[in-house]
Amino acid sequence: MIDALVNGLVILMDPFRMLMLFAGVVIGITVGILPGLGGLMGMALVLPFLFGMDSYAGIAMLIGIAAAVPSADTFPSVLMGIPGSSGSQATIMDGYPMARKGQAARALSASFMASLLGGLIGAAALTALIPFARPLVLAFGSPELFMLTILGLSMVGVLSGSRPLLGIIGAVAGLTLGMVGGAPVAPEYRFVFGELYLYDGFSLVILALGLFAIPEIIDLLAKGGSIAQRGPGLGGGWMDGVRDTLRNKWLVVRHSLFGVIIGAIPGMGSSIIDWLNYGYVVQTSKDRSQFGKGDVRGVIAPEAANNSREGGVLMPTLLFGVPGSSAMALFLGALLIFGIQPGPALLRDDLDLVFVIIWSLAIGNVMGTVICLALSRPIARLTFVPFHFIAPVVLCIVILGAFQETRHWGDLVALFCFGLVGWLMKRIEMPRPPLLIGFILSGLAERYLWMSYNLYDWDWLYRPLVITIGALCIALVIGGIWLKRRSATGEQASQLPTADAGTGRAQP
Amino acid sequence: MKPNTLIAAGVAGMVGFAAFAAPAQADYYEGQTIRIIIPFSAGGGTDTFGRLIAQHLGNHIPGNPTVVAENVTGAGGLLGSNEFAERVEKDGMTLLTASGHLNLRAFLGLEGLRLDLDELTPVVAAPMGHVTAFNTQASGVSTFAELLEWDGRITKGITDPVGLVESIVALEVLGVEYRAVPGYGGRGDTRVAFERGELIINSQSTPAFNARVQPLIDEGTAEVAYAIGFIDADGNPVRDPAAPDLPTLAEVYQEIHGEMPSGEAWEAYKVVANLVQNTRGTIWVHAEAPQEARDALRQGVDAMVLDPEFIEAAGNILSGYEVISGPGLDQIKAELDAAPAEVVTWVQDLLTDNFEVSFDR
Repeated sequence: MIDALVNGLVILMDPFRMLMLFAGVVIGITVGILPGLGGLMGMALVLPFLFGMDSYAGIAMLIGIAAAVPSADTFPSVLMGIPGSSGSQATIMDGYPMARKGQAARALSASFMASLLGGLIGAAALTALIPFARPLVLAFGSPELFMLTILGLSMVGVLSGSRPLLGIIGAVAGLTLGMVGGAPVAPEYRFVFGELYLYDGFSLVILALGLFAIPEIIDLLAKGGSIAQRGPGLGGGWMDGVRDTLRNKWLVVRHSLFGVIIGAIPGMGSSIIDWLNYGYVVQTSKDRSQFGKGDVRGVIAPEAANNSREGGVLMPTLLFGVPGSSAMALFLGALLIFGIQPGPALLRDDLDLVFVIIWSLAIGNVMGTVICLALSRPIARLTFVPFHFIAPVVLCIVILGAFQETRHWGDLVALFCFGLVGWLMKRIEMPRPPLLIGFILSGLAERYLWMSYNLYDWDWLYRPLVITIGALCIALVIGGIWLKRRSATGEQASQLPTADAGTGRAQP
Repeated sequence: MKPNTLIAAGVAGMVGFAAFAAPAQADYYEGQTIRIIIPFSAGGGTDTFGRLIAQHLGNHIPGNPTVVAENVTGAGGLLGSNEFAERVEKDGMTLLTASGHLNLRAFLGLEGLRLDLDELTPVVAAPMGHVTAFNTQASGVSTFAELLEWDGRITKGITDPVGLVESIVALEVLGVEYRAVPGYGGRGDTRVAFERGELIINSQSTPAFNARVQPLIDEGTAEVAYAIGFIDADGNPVRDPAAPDLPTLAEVYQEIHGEMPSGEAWEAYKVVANLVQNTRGTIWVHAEAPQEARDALRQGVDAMVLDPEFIEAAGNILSGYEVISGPGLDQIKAELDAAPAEVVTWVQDLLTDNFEVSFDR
């Protein structure tokens, strides 16, 4: 194993391969910054160039993309409240309020530091855990996966802040929206009204852009002024962010490991990981009064997890040939081009290649972080520019990001409709994350419930892991209610005068 | 000189140059761009095959056209296929990469798909076989004959039933009573569930079987049931070239029952096994494209399959199989035409009765 570790590094140190890794990182940063585009898009862009390329160079490039996207997608999330890719939705919750307080540089550097550490922990975990990952992946059958979707839904209360009822309504609406399109367990299409566009259901990217980007753009334009509401104190903010992250080092470690583990379970998809982590950090913090208003821990936790998860999603990808995320499905396809068949035999026969992947992940993370940190100061200045100068560009990018999903005019209609819904929700102060979570989990919950029943009738309810996760869900809900009651008196006093950064009604 | 005159002079110059550059006898594809529609997302098996062909075909077609592959995804391949069927010029400038299962959907007349195989001509195709295995650890039985007598629940993971049709018809031939568990995302997901012991029986493409199910057999948790195999030009079952040591369904049936399989299920099996497996990746052109276009494409494919560079690249991607060109394509077309209407109806009824799949005709 040790010589494979060294061999992997030696193979990767070839100048051309390092150049390709770097190219991958640059592409990853670009698609990460552009809202709506993510690792999937980045990999799809380079796929045609892989035919005939040296296999190690090609793999380094793809992994470079995967490593850089979750760092760079933080930019739009923090600076404009627009999800940069599906993995950084939760970063908006606290990152954007920080930017509005004029602390964009601090939020960004905290996030990049967390991303770097998370990415390195993810690569280390992949190295250490890959021999043992098989039992972990196999432990999660359909019943356990169903319970994980329930766990995700139990976090809706925590993510709804002071308006749990509206949050639950939003989650139910999300679950309903997720039913449109092909049914997960029967060959039929629901609520498609004969429109081929609806056969695949709605796209998560478009829903997220509609819910978060469009309302933000409208309100910022209506209000005038710049994104940052207070003081031009960009100054030394970015060292503060690094210090924030280092001060919360155990938080980084905890969420990185959580990200690896959830990422390693195939069948959950990676877009729920940052929300689970955000819910987790809010739930386990003693002082929750600042979450949603610019608590740096709300940035650190999801950002550490969304970089480390790449180490996790590679486990089922390499061990079982089952994609751990949609970008990994493309990565699997690329391995096919190079004649590499992932599977248990890969670990036995071609460990060097596995370590090339791991080293690429680690080095790609370092490259990505350095570039992002260098970019963060100039880019953070955008928050002080009057928004009407940047709005047209942002709007164009958002529309293009939505349109690249299927390049069907339905994408634009969907973006407009979700934008309207998002704006109305923002007006009536209805929390938007629950809707997104309901949407993500809708198909999964239905699928795994029916599969569990078909496999085991109701006997699956007695499986130990099912009971454990079930108990966790109940604890989460009851604990949430209890903590809310306890802090209700204190919050009531503080709620009114605090400028709620998310509502966009505060004066500049 | 006024800017307008400058431009006019420039245009005149270019036109003159173009006229000069054109050869005396122009090839049909000279200076043209061929667009290959891939109705699936990037990175899958069909996409990889389509891109492999797109990469090499242009160099061999007379006139060296540019060949671009484009993913037109959505609705399980329906959007891209329907665009090819209805919304492009049928002049040979647009081709379609279909998977074996997309072809089968078109063959059976699946609801919403407007592709008609009678109106298409294959340009090149690639085969891929499938192998069925069962979990010995979860079932506690060690041979397939014992599994048929086993009183436990023989679970089979279902992704899209049409996409698994060859394995479903195989179970019908053998009369296996199984519990269908729909909801799996793809064959990879069913394989993990199989490894976990959730599913008792599982079918994989032969390359996936060799890489990921064989290790389970080696460690003693699974066993081969049968390979789907191919049907030769005379209608006889033959072994899978990528798994020559594995018995085919017909051999296993003979061992258990002492005779060759027969009846409606077997007739259907012979049609679907070849249709799905021989056209795993197929490039189609419209049959009404000009004769010279179709000839040029054929000529290009015939030259391409001899190119060492192509053979090397294809070796990785096709894992153990060779592309079908020339007379093999005519045979695919002939088999499609010869398929009896009763077989189509039988397969449609099977899928409708067991899985509620709807068909247009």
